[in-house]
Amino acid sequence: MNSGTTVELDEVTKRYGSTAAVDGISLALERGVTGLLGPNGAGKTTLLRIIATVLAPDRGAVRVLGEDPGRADGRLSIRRRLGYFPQEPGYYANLTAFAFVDYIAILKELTDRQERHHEVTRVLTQVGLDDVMHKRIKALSGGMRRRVILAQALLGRPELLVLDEPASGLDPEQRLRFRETVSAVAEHHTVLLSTHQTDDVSALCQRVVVMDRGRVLHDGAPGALVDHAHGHVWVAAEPDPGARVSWRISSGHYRLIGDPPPGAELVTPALEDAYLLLLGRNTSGADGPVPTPGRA
Amino acid sequence: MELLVIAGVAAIVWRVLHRRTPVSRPAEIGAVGWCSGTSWRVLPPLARAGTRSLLRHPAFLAGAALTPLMLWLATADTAFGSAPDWRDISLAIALALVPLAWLTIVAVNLIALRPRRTGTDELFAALPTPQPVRTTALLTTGIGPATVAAALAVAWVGVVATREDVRGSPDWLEIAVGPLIVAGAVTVGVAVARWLPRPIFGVLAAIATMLIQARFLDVTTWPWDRAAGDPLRFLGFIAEATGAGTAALEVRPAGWHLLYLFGLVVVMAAVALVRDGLRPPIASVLAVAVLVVTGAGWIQTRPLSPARQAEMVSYLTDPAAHQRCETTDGIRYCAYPGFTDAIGDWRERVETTLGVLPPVASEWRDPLEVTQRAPVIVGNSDCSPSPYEASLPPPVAERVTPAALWPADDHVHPGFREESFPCSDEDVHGFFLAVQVGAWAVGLPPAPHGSNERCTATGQARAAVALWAAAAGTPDGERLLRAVLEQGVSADGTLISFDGDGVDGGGWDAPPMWGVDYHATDAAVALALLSRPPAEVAGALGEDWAHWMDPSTASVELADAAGVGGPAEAAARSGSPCP
Repeated sequence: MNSGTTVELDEVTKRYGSTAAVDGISLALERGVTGLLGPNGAGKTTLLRIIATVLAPDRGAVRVLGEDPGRADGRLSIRRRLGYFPQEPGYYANLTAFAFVDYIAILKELTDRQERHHEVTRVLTQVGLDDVMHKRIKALSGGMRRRVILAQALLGRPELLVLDEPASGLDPEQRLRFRETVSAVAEHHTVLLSTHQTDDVSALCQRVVVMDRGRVLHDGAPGALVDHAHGHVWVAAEPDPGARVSWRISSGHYRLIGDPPPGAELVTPALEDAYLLLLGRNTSGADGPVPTPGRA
Repeated sequence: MELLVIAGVAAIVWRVLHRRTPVSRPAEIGAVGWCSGTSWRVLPPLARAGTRSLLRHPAFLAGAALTPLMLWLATADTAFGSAPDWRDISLAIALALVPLAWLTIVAVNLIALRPRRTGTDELFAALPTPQPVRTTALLTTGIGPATVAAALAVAWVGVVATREDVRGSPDWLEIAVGPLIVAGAVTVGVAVARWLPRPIFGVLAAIATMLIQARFLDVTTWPWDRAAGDPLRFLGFIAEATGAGTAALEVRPAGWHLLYLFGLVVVMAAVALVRDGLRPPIASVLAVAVLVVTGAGWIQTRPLSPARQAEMVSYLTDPAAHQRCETTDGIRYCAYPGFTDAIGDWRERVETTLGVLPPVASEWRDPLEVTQRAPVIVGNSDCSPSPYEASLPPPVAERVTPAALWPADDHVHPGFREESFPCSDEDVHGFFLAVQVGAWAVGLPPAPHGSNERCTATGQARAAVALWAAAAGTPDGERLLRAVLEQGVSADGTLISFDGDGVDGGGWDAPPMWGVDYHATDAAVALALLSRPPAEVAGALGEDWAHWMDPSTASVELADAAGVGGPAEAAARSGSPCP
């Protein structure tokens, strides 16, 4: 593993019955933000759980922060340096945000009471909950609750931050705040961010990994993914049956993705266009239909 | 009280069953077990956080709020009735903490399952503190509830201590059983959560401990079918006192029982930790705890030594060798050590009862002796009467005979416990003893002998005189005599005989120990005589004492002579006639 590599996966496979949730994935992550895109059931959450040491792969080699999570001491070492935001985080709704994060801080081995309280205050302030930290979690909005979970992930300034759809349910202002927080962490550490929000990936990630059916379809800079879509996005007055996907845009025209007809008015593709194009190719081959974009 | 507990348990079951389905999928979460590099420094703050949660949990708070009421109910008879005894009070205080333990099981079980119930277990699985440390921290929280239980117990001791007439001193080893059981409840709740991770099992565990306790508490029922004094009862969590009535006749290995319970608590804690793997230190602790439980349990259930058996037999059959006596106005009073304070009460009742009778009543017989001895019948844990021998350690019971225990000696015999009506802490002012004194004065046997042998004096004037003298010589005596009539008259008209025939003995802790089966018609004559001034009745009796004391003189004749009316005719006689 390179000195700058935080996570290294080699032919990692995880199966649930006959279904391969993760199918022979090899990947190396370094400092910065890596976005993980993919439709529902692509295997993103399974991959993140493996990296977060809560799930063991059936096959393949995993090294996280230079440690082998297959060994107990390796797992322990990883967990001491890891911040994890699960896809379905739970809460102790009757506790205040402060008390809940404080409890997690204890479990993160912050044993000195004064230092721990200082750190809890810091992370809650960082996610913008400083004015509601002493309210019970059940009294907070859904977005605030997710920020509580983000705050606990930031405890102890982890070297690796694994975030599974952390931005869902956040309003635009909260999302900007979230981007600010994550990008600040990524200046010195590694962030792996699973999301359905391509604009978050565009805004935050130096690298994007697109997964589908347990496999990696793309691994590279977001710009490289967009490059694949050049010449495949156009606008027209009418929908085109040959397009993989199309939708009406604010001007009243249609934005179409696929193989354009001759003379089509090509436009600059966005990351979302490239993502949809990639998924459509993987799903049904070059000429097949593209499923309607959906969310988890 | 039982209804309250049942309603509380039902409410908890309903609440648990109607909780939302767990959101996490524990089966998907990787194994998190023991790890050599685990930091145990998190234990104190984690235990403090767990203790805060437990002490604020609604189920625990409900238990803590209920405990003063339980303490009051458990000790109302023993601490706030007449003649309170610290020995009985200490046992009752420990027993009163058991409902708190039940609710503690539910509370800690729900707290232990909180990650699963709230879906935080996946998050916790990615944290460096592994499950064994979290389990250990939860087990450590037992100190909190146990401290609360101990504080409540000590506070109640303080409340009871405001009474100056409590006999003996608090038995702290017996009281400590209560807080230890509450600490044990924490280990049970955690162990159940680790092995059966559904909240319903926490509730079922609380119910199971109730059933286990009920089975061991009363060894007289199936499947044990042993005597109440059998030491097997010490294998339960808490062992009630037998009906022996005095510490001298009951073996209570309180220290060993405490050690036995402590061993059980450690066993349950180890069982909870073994869920994450049987590590050598845990295996060692478990083995030692099992040894402690086995050893302490074995010692508790050992038969009495021959010397102790002989001492107890002597205590029962040779009271003169043990009792302290004093003589006042020619009447000898004898009481066992620890009961000598009661002589003053006995003397007062003897003097007031004999005082309403003509002087000849105290002169025509041998001098009266008032000698304490074991009652023939006592209440058991079900508040129903049972033979006294069943309360004794079995080897002692086998070595004593009714004839040796309860000779027909014509003495008045107070028992070990304060007299009372069933399920009542009302002060009866020694009325039952007064009836014995009245019987002695009129030539009837004061107390039963042998195997609850009593004679009948139905329809005899002297029986009515005995009851009249007792009621007239006791404060509030007329109402007490009426209460006796209300407490139970058997089908043949006998007052409270416990020989069957319809008398419900439920609730009697210390039933009247009378040597005569008095008949309701004679009690009616006695009540009628109470309408006359005592001196007038005494004067009439004194004019022809021998006639009225003659067994052939009917109570109806006495009623006619006194001009008070009474039953139209004498009741039919049954049973063995009194001499």
